[in-house]
Amino acid sequence: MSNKNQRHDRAQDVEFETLLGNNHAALVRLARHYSSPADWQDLLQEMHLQLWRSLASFDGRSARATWVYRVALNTALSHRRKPNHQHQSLEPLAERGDAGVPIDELSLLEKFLAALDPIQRAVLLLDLEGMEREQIADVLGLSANAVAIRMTRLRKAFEAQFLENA
Amino acid sequence: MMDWNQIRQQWQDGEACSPTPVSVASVQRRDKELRTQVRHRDWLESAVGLLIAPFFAVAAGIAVAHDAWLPALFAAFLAAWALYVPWHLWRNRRLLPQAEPGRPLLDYLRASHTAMLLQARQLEQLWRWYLAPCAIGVIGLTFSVRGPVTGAFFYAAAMLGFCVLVALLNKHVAQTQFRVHAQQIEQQIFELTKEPSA
Repeated sequence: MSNKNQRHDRAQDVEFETLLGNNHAALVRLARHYSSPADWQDLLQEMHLQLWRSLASFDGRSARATWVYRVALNTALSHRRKPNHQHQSLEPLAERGDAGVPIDELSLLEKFLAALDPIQRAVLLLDLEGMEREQIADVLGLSANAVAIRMTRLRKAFEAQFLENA
Repeated sequence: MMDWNQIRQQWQDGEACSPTPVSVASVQRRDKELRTQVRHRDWLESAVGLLIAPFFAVAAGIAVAHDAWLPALFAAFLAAWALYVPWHLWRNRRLLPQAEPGRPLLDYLRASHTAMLLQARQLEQLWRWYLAPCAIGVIGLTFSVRGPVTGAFFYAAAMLGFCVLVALLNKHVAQTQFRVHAQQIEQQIFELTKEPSA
């Protein structure tokens, strides 16, 4: 292998390492919300693999973070379709408020997320990761307006559930 | 009033991350392993075809040398089928649309949906390009060599029964897995594209 190729491979390795490091927490959160507690690390590995395989085709037309979320979300939805990965479970967090202890916002949020279908969950998760509406729209392939309407509806539903449980 | 920005901040701060360091080398190793598995599968399919084809080709040659034209025809047919199957599998895999994970979700789901339906169709049509030619070749060869004896009829019946069973099993897999997944994806596309009420 020529020195030029070796330098290119090394640069790609460093780029990938940085990418994983920068997005590790978000990828873990996404993996945990699209798989069972026993399975989320498998999904995380699958996300890493798909990111690595797709890295060469990243053309820079979207922001790097947007692209990472696209790959991760698409991988998560495909992973759910595989045998034995059909269910996702957030029960330990979701049931925290059942013993008479006042439920906190995050626990209720987990419960709320668990009850959503995978698409709605994606909209809310991307928002929670701090993405702008335009970025979420870019990840999902929708208009920013459609994302805004969905977000408003989801937040209202969550707020109503929170008030009900408060 | 709920402060969404605060919830968002809590969300981002709250997750206890896996302490497992992400190793680029392990990702590359896994990638290499999976690619090797795929290469081995492709190689095995081709090797089986390439091993069977010469056997029937030689049988056809011997039959021709003995002026047994009908057995020669069926043996040649089976040799051609043994070469056709790996080629058919190779071509179909390359024609299958790949859902590129770097695309927006909606595009990805549409590509996945098309791929899922194509795979279902391929399994449902297995009898056409795999089972039926194999059964015709083997049964034809048996009768042309042995004549209409009881043993040949039993063999033909067993062969046909086996082919029907394999065809039904594949159809079952297509309908209970690939078509079910295609429906799930269709539902997700619907959820994504339906006009949200404000």
